Amino acid sequence: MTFSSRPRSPEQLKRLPDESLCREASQGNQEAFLVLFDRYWGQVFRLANAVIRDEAEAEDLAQSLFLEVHASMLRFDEQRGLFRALLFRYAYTRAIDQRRKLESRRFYSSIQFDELDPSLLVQESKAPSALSPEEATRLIEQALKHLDEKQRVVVEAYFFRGLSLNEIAHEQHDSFGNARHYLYRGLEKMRKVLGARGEAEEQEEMGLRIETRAPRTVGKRVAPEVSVVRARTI
Amino acid sequence: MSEHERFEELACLAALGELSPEEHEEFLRHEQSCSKCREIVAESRSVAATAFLAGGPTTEDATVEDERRRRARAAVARRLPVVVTVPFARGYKRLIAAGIAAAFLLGAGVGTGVGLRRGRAPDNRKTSPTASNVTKTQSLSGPSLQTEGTHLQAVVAGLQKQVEQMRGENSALRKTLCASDQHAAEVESRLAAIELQSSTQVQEVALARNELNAARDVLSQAKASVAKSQAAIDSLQYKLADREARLSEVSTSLDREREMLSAGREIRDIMGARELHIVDVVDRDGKGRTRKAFGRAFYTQGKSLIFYAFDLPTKNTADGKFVYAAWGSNSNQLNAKRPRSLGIFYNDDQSQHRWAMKFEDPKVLEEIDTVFVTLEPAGRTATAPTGKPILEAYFGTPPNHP
Repeated sequence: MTFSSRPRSPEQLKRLPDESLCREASQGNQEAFLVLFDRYWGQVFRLANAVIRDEAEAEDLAQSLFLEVHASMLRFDEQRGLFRALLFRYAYTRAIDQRRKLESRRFYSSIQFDELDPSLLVQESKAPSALSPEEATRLIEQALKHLDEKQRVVVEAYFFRGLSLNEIAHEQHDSFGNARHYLYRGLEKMRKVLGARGEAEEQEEMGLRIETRAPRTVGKRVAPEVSVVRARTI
Repeated sequence: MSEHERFEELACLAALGELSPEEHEEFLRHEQSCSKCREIVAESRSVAATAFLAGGPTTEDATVEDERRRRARAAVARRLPVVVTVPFARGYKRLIAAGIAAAFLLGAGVGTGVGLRRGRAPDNRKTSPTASNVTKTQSLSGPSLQTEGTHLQAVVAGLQKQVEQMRGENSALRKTLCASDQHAAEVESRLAAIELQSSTQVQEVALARNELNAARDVLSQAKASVAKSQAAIDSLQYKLADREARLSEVSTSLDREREMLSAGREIRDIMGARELHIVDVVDRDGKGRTRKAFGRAFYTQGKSLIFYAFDLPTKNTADGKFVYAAWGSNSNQLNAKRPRSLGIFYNDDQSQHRWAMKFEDPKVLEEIDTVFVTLEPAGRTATAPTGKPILEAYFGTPPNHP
């Protein structure tokens, strides 16, 4: 015996916001979940591939990720945060974990989708995962100008060429510890540069809004998107 | 670096998953009470995601991307479990509503049927038909509703029981999940320890390789040194051989000079000797007839004899099996004794085909007056000649150089 309401058509589903689709999916509507899949597959795969740098691995990971998200739908609480932001944060964390596993070296967190802590979640529009590669490249190139030579070399090798810290240390004839420190310094500087830029844009945007009374547009800047991922305690 | 600056570095690296298990554990403890570090992790993760996207592979052909999306969509759709969920509250309300409606319809139906039947029968009572119908309807529909109500209560009780049962199962599953999580955490911990150990071993292997390379360098240097020394030894050996050859030449020259000096002295002695016989040696054919001279003998009476022979055949002596031997005898029959061995000839000068023999025993020389030469087997001490006389010289005449 089922007590379900009359099913919506695919066209109706496509017009629904994420959280409504999540609700439908949690009630067993597979079509609703597949609409979410169609909506975010491309961005999730692109992020996973950028981190792992292996298309087959990234495809497997993205598939598994969507299945895990579906399995968590019954427990999904839309009050905890926007589905899209949670999805990208989970995708990034799982991609980093997969990269660590492939390197077979570092610690990985094994986080679950419904274990994400949304306490620091910010606006969905600020999610960098939604940036196009061209926009991301433009932002990062601006940030790289503020790095010194050593930091820039390590950051480019790590993010652009997909090398591990061990490989970078070997290539630069330096120690693992030094390579990791240069990576930290570089990322720290980029974080501060992009954070300051984000604040300036936000102020500028606020000014425009006051002047023109125009509705606020969706920004494409980098800002804190994801919260701390709480790994299981080992 | 202050303690918190170190945690800020850990926060930044945590966003990249670049912490060791120990660092991660330490950072988790700190992070629980530090909102700033939580913000750093979130911001760093955001910047890192942007950097990864900036450095990610370039966009592929739209057809390839669409094909990948279609393939993944089919795989995900195939693996989605069929979820049939019935929100309990909504289902319960609908069930109650359906039960009430069914009960009402049933009661109404029964009441109507009874009324119709009564209408057809004679009515002897004084009650109004309407009141009678209402009374009957109430008397019939009351128990039915009660029965349905009881039934629905039983259904509700059953459902509540199912809910309780499911709650129990849920609790058990949660416990199992907790146990699984704990087990997974232990496995992860062991894995992290193994990875750490593996990392240590990798470092040790790298260290050992460095040492091996250093040892190989030392070995190659030693080999180069040995090769250099060997070259020096070879050079010295070559020089030594050269010196030895020159020494040998010098020694040979010196010996020759000594021999020449000795020979010169002998020649001087012979040339200055008195009672010297210089005899031309003739060949003897075995029949008492002599032939042309083949040698020359210098005999200093009672002192020395030097016998030179020329053109002796070398056919039998070339392989060393035979030698030419000189014998001394006395032609006087009264004093005849067995021939005395005087020695063997040596090749004095090959270019001149000259052979020589020297004898200096005055006592023997006093007893003999004839010297002859025979071919004798080599390596045997002969006490008497076995071959035929080839050359013969006679010294019985007075000295021709007195």
